[in-house]
Amino acid sequence: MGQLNLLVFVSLAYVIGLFAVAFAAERAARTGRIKWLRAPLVYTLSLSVYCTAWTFYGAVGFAVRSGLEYVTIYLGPSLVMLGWWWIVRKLVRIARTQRITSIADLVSSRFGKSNLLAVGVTILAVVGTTPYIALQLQSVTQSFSVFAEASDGDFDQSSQSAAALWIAIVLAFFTILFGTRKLDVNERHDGVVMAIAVEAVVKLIALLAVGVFVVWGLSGGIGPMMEKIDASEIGTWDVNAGRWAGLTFLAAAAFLCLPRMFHVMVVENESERHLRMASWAFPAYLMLMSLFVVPIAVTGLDLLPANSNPDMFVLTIPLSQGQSGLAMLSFLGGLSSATSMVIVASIALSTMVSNHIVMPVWLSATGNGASVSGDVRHVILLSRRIAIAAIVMLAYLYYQFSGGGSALAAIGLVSFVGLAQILPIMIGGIFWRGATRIGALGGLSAGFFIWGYTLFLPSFGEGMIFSAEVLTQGPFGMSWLAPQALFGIEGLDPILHCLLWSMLLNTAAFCALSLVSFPRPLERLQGAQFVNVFQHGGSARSWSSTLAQSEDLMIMAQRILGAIEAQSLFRREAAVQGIAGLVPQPTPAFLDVLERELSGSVGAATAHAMVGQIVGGASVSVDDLLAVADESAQMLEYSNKLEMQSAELQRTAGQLRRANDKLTQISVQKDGFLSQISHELRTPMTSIRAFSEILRDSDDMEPKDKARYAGIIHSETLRLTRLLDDLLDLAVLEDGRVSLNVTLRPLSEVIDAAIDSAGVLGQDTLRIKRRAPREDVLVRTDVDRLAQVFINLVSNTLKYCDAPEPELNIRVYRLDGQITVDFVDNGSAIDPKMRDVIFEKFSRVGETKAGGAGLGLAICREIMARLEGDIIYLPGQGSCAFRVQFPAELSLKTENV
Amino acid sequence: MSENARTGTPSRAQAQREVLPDAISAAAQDGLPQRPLFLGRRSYRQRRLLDAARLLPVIGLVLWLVPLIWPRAGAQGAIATSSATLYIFVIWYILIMLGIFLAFRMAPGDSDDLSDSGGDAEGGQSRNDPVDTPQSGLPAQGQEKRVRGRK
Repeated sequence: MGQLNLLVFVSLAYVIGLFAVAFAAERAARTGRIKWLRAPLVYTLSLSVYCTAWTFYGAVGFAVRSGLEYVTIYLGPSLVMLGWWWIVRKLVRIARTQRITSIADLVSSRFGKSNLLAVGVTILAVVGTTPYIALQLQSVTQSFSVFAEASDGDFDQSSQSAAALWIAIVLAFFTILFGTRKLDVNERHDGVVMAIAVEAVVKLIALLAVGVFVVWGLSGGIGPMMEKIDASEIGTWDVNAGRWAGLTFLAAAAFLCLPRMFHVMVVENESERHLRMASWAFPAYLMLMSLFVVPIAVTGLDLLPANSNPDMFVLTIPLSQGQSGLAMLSFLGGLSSATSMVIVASIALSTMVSNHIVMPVWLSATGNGASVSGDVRHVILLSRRIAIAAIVMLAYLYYQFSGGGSALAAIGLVSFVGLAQILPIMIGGIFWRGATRIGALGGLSAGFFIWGYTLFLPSFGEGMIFSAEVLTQGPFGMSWLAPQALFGIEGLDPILHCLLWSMLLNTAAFCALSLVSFPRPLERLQGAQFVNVFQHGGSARSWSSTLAQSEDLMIMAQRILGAIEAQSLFRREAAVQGIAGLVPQPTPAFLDVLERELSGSVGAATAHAMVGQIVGGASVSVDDLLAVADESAQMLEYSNKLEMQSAELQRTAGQLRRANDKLTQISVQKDGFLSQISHELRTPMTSIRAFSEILRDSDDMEPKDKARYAGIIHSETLRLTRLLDDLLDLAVLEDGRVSLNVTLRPLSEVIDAAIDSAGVLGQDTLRIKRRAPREDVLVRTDVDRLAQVFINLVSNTLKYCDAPEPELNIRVYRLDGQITVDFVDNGSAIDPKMRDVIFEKFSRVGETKAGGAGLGLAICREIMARLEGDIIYLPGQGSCAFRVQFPAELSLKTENV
Repeated sequence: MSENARTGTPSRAQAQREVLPDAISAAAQDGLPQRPLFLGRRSYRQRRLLDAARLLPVIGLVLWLVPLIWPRAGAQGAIATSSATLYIFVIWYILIMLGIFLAFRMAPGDSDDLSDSGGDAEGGQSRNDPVDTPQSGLPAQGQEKRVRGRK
């Protein structure tokens, strides 16, 4: 009896120690010393809440019954964590951006904040988890009774249930104390997490200690141990292949879907960096937890009497060897496993119950009460506290009701299968945008129903819910509906049978209904945000136009977030909108922020409903969704426009640069010209002056000389006159004061005249090639002016063509009333740099061998402009070429000028 | 300068404008603010590390499903539990070691920055930062060489 008292004392001391740890952690968090509290290691250890008393004690029993099969329970979660990049990381990111509070919240939020779905998941979670909590109570009382037996104490049924009650009360108290201290679940429960981490260390050390004792203390090392294992009942590989694969999958699914796992893994997650460590550290933890299970099982089988309970080998082996200290440690390990599971599971369940069942009921019971003043946080907290107490008490009652037999021990996997029903809609929800609320409801209901029918209800045993007849013959004699042999497939393991059918039909219903149903706008919005969570951090809005009053929103927010938090939120948002004071405009963006903030406290569905009450249900519509899509398309368009504008600016800049270059060149030319023109004018002037002075001053001059000098003076004046004529002509043309003399003439005549005038025919220095038929075109224009242009071009060739045998090719084309005449010679082409300026006044190419003033081409261009045509240098001919273009019929408008 | 010169230049510009917008809008249809097609050496390594991280659970699953084909007790050549335990735990150990290797090789902040689908609200700067454009790939290689040289 003394040992039992010591045990009670140690347990109490341990529990008080846990309280102290939790208090210290909360205190440290409050004072800001949270760095070590939020270390990746603490996160990893908190994941160990997966290892409950069922795995701590039960794994050995499992190993005794089915050999290595127990290890599948750890392999699945190891794979999930090693593959964190696939699923866990996405869940964590979604939970952070959407302020997810529980797995029910995740599902509900993804499928359009549907509260119905949240209620469904909550019920499934409560039904699936409560027996599991009962199992923890059972294992702790069982371990008590083991000690009692060992010390010949009196620990009968009534004291067992009393012990269970006390444990339940203490756990509920602990959970209420540290689990419902704060409202915002995203603020995390530092005390609880820290306590769980400590418990994780305790249970690992306890199991390793027993393992080391068994291997090195009792069996004499690894080698003998291995021999002993192979010699034992479970000495050869004997695992059903279906169960091996099925249980691995089941454990992986449960690891993701169990409410308590979701809570510690996703909701309490501080940073995605923690995942990186947990990705290898948690599998390592699981490996250590399962390392000594087979040795303990084999040793137990070897040492203990045949009728002893293998589930308690972890305790009974040290006790039988008189190692009461080790047994105590082992007991504490089991206690840790049980308490951490109960604490986290009840927190997770209470959050779900209060957010998805109590709050909606309360909201509708108080009518349009969302805007009534008064703090409702106490309502939420109270509902959570009651929920925790209720869940733990329900588990206690379940334990009492089931009688705590082996039926309860089997509930672990049954519970796993039940919660795994969430997996298809969860995975579908985060990877498939086409998943809809209808599909999710269908899948979840199908899975829930099949689980209940084929596994959960039969698990109570024959005669409890289903009679033996129903179990074997099916209801009403329909054997294909027999709960454990659906559609006549018999002989399958019940767990495997249920897992197979429920997963199959669940997924099928989910996919099929998703395919045929059409999602509501909010579902589509949320679907896009969940699936593409890595692309955008939730920019799309779920509220459209609104009639909400900011005061009402303020009142509501104060009630849920608390006055100070709500006011600081409103002030912050007002500042974002650029408004001084406390009251921001109720824009859709603000409503979105507010709703997300609220959903951290009461869950997405309730938050949405509450905001909806005030806003009047002006939620997003399909048109709004399309508008959002339009908006992003417009943004893209806008940025394209900007790109185009900048490209155009670049082009304009390029044009300006070219224009500037040209102007500079022209200015240089002009300078050149001024000296040129003064030279041109000065040279004849000088000779005229000189010869006229000679004529004036010398009286005795021979008439022959006199005539010669007068001739020179005359020709020089002619040259001057010609130059001045050209200048005048150009000035007149540029001013547009020229009057055109439009006549109708064949083009060939014009060219003939031009060639005549250029003086080509007299000499044989230039060969001219023409094609008569092509020139047979009538033109109505100022033919004299046109001829002037041609003369200029022909005489230019005459002057400048540097080929040994100069040749000029005159080609005529006619297209759409436009006539093109090309003058192509065989001399060298004009330097590309000069091409831009040859049409400018006074420009001359290179050294001029025949002195012109450089006005010819400028005049030509002006003339062609008058004739509505153009003259350009034609590049790419390998020689010098000009193109003259003009309309065959000059329009009347210009004619009248 | 004459009127003609003024009309001549715009007409050439107009011809350019007709060509250029097409090129731009074609680029826009391809998604102008697109992610780069090729990465620098360092980013490329990081991406392949992520691939390895994705592959790890698949390898684990395949290896752990090997026991499905083992003969069971009573059959010819049944596997001893000690060998089976050894097999399962050695794989476990190797997977954990690989997990440690990958976790430490991933540069800090990668889980945010080098996500498979580019940046997001928080990792927005990532788009410019670790993802090397083909142009910036060359300097990155240069840096690598320098580092190697220092060793």
